[in-house]
Amino acid sequence: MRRLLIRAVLAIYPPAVRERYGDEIAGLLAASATPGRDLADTAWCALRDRVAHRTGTMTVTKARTTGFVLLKLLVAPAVFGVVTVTTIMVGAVAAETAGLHEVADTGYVMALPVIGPLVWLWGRAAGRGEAIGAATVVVPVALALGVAAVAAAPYIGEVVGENRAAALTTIACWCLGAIGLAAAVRALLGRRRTVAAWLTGAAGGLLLMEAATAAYVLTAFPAHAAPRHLAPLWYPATMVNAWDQGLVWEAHRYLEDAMKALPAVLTLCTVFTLAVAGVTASRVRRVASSA
Amino acid sequence: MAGLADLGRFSEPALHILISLAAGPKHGYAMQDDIGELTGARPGPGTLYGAIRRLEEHAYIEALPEQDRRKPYRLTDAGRAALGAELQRMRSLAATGLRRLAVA
Repeated sequence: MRRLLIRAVLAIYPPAVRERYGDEIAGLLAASATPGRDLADTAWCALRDRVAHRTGTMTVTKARTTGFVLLKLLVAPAVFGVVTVTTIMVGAVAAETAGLHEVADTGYVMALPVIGPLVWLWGRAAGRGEAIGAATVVVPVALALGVAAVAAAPYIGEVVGENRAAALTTIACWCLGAIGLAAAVRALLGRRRTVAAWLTGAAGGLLLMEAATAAYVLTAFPAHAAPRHLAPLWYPATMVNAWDQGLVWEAHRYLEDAMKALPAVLTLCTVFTLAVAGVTASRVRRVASSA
Repeated sequence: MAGLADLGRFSEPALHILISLAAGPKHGYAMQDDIGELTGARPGPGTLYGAIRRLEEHAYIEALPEQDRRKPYRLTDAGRAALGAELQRMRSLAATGLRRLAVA
């Protein structure tokens, strides 16, 4: 475990510093009598060196491009939300006009198969066209901050959950899970285990959304209002309008009414994150094989 | 010569390293122990090697060939001069402070 942590901390250093002093620092960390303190000290110094190195080598143009990429990532969740709601409304009107009354009120489950592929393509285009450093961390964190900004906004915030504390907890949980999932997919793709990578992405993405939804319900509802044994149904229930009678507050309320667009937006954020992780992993592999 | 103030937040650990190496070449472990005895606080590896890197960049210290998989470092002439100047400055500062305290 300590060796793993030492490797992780050394990975933060700029390559030149790691190459020159890495073995010596690793030696001190391995023999340390206060490993927690020394790992924290080293991680902090490495992080500062990394930031100083990036700042030192960053041109104005590069800084502007990085800022623009981050801004796009921060705004993306709001775009996901607006497009989802618009698609639901347009779909509902179209279904009513066509006489498909049963379909008209199905909610997010109708919109996501349409928007999901578009978000996937957007994620792949973003990963291909823009050099996003540490994409498996930066993308989920920036998207989570974008959703959190919406959740924290007065009045508007309710569109991603009527309980703000629960929404923010959910976003934080999603962010951590998405970082782990993106890293796993990227690692598997890096080892050319493509099928395993995408199976992990699909199953992990579903589990991630189940966990994020559970985080909301556990934070917002007392046990008697949301029977815990129904937890696997919570996420699917948020996707289909009026399907979840009895899941929360017996038959009086729907979970989808409480969480509103949050599960749908986080689902699209997961799709986007996986798309970027896939592209950047392929690029790293191409660079490695051409070297 | 710019002096240790140039090393920013590493100027204090750098001073401790120079004092430690003034007694002779040492590797990282030995410096940690020695500085721990001198100051009562053992520097973490990140702080220690952050300062070592900057001292090497300023040519105040230099690495010697590895011994038993450990790399010792020693003071250069520039490092000895910088340490001397810094200690003189501290002595002068301390003397002024103490004199003023005595007057007060």
